[in-house]
Amino acid sequence: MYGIINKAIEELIIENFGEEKWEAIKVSSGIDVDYFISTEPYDDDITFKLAGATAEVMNITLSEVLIAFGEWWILRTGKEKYGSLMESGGKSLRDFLIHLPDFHTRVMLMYPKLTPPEFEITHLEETSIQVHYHSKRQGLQEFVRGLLQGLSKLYKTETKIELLQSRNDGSDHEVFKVSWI
Amino acid sequence: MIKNRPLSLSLMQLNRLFPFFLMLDQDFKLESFGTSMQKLFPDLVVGKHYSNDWNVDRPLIDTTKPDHLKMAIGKLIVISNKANPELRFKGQLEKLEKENSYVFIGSLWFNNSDQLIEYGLSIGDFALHNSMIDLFHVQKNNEISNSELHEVLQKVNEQKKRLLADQKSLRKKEKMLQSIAEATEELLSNQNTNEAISNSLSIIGTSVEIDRVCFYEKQIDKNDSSKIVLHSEWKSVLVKDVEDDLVPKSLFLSQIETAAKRLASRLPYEAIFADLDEDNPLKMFMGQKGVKSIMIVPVFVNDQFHGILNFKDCQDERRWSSDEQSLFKSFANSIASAIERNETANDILDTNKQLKLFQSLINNSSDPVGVAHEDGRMFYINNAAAKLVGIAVEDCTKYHVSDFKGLLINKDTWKNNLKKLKQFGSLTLEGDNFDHSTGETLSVETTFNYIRIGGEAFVIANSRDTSERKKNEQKLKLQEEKYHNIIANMNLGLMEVDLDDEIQYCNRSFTEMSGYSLEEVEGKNAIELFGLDEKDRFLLGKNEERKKGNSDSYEIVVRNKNGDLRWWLISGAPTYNDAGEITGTVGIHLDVTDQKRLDKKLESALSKAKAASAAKEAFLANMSHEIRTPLNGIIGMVRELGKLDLTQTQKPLLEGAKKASAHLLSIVTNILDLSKIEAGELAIDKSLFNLYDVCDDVKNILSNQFTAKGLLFEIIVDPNLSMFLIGDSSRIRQVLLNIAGNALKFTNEGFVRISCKVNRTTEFHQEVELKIRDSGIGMDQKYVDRIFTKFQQEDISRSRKFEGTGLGMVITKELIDLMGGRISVNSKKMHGTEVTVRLTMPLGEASKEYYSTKQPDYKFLENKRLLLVEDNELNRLVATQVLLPLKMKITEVVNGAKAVELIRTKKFDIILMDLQMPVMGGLEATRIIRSELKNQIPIIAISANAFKSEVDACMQVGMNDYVTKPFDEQDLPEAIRQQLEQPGEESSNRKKTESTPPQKPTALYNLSKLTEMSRGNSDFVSKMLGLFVDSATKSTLELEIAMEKGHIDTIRKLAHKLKPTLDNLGIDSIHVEIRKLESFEPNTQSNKQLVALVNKVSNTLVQTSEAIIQNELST
Repeated sequence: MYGIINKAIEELIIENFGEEKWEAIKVSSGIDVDYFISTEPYDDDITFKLAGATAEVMNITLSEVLIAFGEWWILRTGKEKYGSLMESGGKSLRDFLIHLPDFHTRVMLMYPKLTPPEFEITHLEETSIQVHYHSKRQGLQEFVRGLLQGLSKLYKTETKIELLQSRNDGSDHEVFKVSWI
Repeated sequence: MIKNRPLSLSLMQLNRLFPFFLMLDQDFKLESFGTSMQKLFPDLVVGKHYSNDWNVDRPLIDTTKPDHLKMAIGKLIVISNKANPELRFKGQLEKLEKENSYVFIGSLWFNNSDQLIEYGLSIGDFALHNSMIDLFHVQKNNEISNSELHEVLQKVNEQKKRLLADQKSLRKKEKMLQSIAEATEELLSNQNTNEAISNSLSIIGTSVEIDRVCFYEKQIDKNDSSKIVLHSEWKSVLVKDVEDDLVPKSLFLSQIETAAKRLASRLPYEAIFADLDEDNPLKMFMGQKGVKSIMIVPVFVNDQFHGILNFKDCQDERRWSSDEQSLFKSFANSIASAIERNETANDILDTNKQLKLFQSLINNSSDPVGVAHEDGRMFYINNAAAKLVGIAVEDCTKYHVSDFKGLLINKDTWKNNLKKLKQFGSLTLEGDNFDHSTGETLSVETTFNYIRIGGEAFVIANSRDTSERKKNEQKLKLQEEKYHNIIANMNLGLMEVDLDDEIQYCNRSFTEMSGYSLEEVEGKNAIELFGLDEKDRFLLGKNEERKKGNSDSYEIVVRNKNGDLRWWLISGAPTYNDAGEITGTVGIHLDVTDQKRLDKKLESALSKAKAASAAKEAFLANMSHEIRTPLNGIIGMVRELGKLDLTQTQKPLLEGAKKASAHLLSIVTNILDLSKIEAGELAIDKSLFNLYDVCDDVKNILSNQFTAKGLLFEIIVDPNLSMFLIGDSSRIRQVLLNIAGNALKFTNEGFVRISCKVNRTTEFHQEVELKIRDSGIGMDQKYVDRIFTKFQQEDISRSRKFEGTGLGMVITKELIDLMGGRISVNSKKMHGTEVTVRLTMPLGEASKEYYSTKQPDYKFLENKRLLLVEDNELNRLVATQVLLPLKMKITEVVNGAKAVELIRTKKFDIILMDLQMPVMGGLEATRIIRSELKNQIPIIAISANAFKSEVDACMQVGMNDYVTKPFDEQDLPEAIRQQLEQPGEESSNRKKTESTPPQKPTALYNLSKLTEMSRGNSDFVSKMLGLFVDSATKSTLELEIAMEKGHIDTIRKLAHKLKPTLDNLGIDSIHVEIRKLESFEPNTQSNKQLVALVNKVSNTLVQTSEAIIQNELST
């Protein structure tokens, strides 16, 4: 994964729990990287170790870590770093989600070393939409949930996010239904 | 407002706007494509379904449906070429309603500009509006930025690490500083230095995070100062304890030379285990302790090397920073300070103790001690001095020396003595002091010492009361004078010599004895002065005895001042000095010359008396022999006369004559026996015999007489008695017959019993007790006491009842003595007598020898040619006589030269060779025979000298055997037989026997040997004796002439020549003297000794010669 992901985790921890916790997490994960460069690809393992260590040090579940990170990714990383780009994704949550596949295709092209997930939008309703998540990686579905939650918060839209299907159930991909009023 | 009107573009325009376009028909087959697309894919063929060449990477669509591509309309599409998936195109699909076809409008998407070149594309292949090329620029910028960012980050990272390391080091240093401070505080505050050092090591070790800290101290009590011994050690909990037992508690700095040099220069020494050479002793030491890295810091106390501090890391190969080294040095200084402080404290303590001790010692000394300033003002006095001068100790500083009256040094003498004191430092004076406490004047000896302490000078006076010593000295002087007078006036001469025999002192008697005055002898060498031979072994021996501290007495001949020879009896003892070392000899001398003269006269008289006695005995023996012959005739005649018819008057007369003649015969026989015994001629045989048989003989001989007298006679023999013993059966028989005969004579009724009992049996011997008991008349104790005295009978009256010579018991006892036995008599008047004889005899074994004696076979020697080389005529006669039975052909020559000459021309089988001969001796002759003549004829040496050195010399020149003179008669034949016998001819296993030792001298001569040699040839004996008489007279004369002329060599040769003759004739009284003359050494023996020896030999030769003429040759 690109450094920006790890960097985002770092910022999340430092922002919420302070520098020492981050150092503790780094020591716990055994990762000796002082500075993550956003546009540099890093081994996936680093990200998973950081997530695991965060859960351990913060004494929370890995799912909670991933959800929090998903939100953080949208609300802080996306908004602060990509600002206008993020905003150009759509004028509303619904709009953003509709463009999400194209958006991600562009990201894919911009980051050639990325092994990107693939999103698909179905069941486009007035108050709901189904987001399909295809990924070669395992265990990041809660991160996607966090992303969706983050987007909801970004667009100040109260949403209900349901996992309709999952690879855990034997499906080949996850399907989230995002509903709003 | 935008007008909605159809827009048509020519293919060329489309190509210019979208050079990567693809046109598909309604069935999605390729209709046409842009120029840039054609450039990339020259093989692209129109009419093929798009899916033949393309993949749709995005969006995710179900490609199984026929018109699935329609799903992508309105979405961002990414397609890639199937043949080269790296070539991706980003764009969108639009349906052209009019043409009923689909168009893909997009652009090639590369991730970097290098791919352009790779695929042969250029900027012209892209539409002008296409921002792809611009994107490449942005990407490139990003790459550069990223690269620079990398560099920055790397630098930052490095700096951060350095910072962290510095921070860590700082913290460590801070911690170390703190620990040094703590350790120093401990060393300063803890009075127990050893404990403080131990604690400080623990503080340092913990804070510095090392594994061991040790403190070694230099070995102080040993000469080798390079040895250091473990004082204290701290080790971390991580270090295993078990290793400690294997590690030496001390080591020699000299073993680690490099380290020692640095340490001596006060520099720390650092070593890493892995870096050290294998043969470095430090490596071994570190290995034993499991140390990987070591830092050694020297500890200097009072500028002297005192020891070392060792910091050891057992985990890592730690390299010590300069900061650490400085801190360790600082710690070493703290330890040094603690030790210095402790030593100083101890020194002060010791000094105080010593001061108190000395103060107490001086204060309580019985001798007065005082100290004054140079100007005479008193500084200190002790209790004894205070008592002497009559003031209090504490008041002394108020006084001046001149204030005290009657002291050895007073006001007048102070200045003079002070000058001497300054010059010599010390002064001892004797004189008087007045004692104020007793009012007496004391004799004293006072020692004054002048010393400077700081800038001030003092005089110390130490006085001793010498009154008692003076009294003792006076007493000793008086005693010495007393003894001196005694010694000076006594009749015994006293002389003292030192270790070099130089005379130190002699008394008046000695000067009178020697004729010299004291002045004449003092400092002179005693041995030289009194004409003694300093090399005399006797004197040397005496000196040696003195050096060992032994005292003894001896007699010596000295020459006095007048030149007279005097005999002195000297009692000598070593003298000692005060250290117990021997300083010389003191001798008490008594002139015994007169006594000596008397002794010589007595000796001569005794010698004459002995000679007279011997002559008497010889005469008796001779006479007895001469009487026996006519007596035998008388007895025979009387016996024959008794066979005739005699008248009643004649019969008692004849009976009387018979008894008288028998009595006379027994007297003569006894006298003969006794004279033989006294002349030492009676030899005791030692051969196998049976005591049972002897007892039987006695019984058989006497039983008739016992029966005639009506007495019971019995013999009881112990069954344990050995069948065979070794002894003289005939003499034992004689003893038993004699005692039993007496018993028969003095017993009129009752019994006589002989019992033979075994008292003791050992492995080799049996002690036999023969007891003869009778019931006869017994004896008075007075007579029992004299029973073994010659010619004694109990009844000495003229009309005595029992006949007898009174010699029977004397002879019996002599015989028993000769056999080594004992006899005792137990008797009581009227109660019978018991005589007990005890004999110890060797146990014998019944052998063939007992029944038949096989003689060696000498027959093969008949007609063998023997050359006898011997200068002495007598010896030649002896040899030929002995060899006579062998029937050999004997040729005689008188020296070696003649022998050699003869051997050149004549053949012999064997040579008998004397060694000492005129012209040429035996050794030289043998050498010529062996070397020059190359003759291997057997040569047997004959010599009177039995020393091994001569035997060796004989064998060295090639002689075959050696026979010592005098030889037994079988010695020569046996030696000859052994040389000439061929290996197969050995006829007997007879062993060569040693010559028998000379008999104890009991008479002037003993002819038993000569008689044995003669084999009964009396002419031979007479001839030998005649030769001896001639040569004795000649030899005596030659000896005396040689002595007069001082020809020692001639004397030696004469003695050598005489020796075998003397031995053959049994002239044993000068056995020792003749040998002393033979080996006389003038350098070590005195002339006086020579004179004495020659005189003794000459006298004996003359006496013996006369005796032989008288006893043997006069008929």
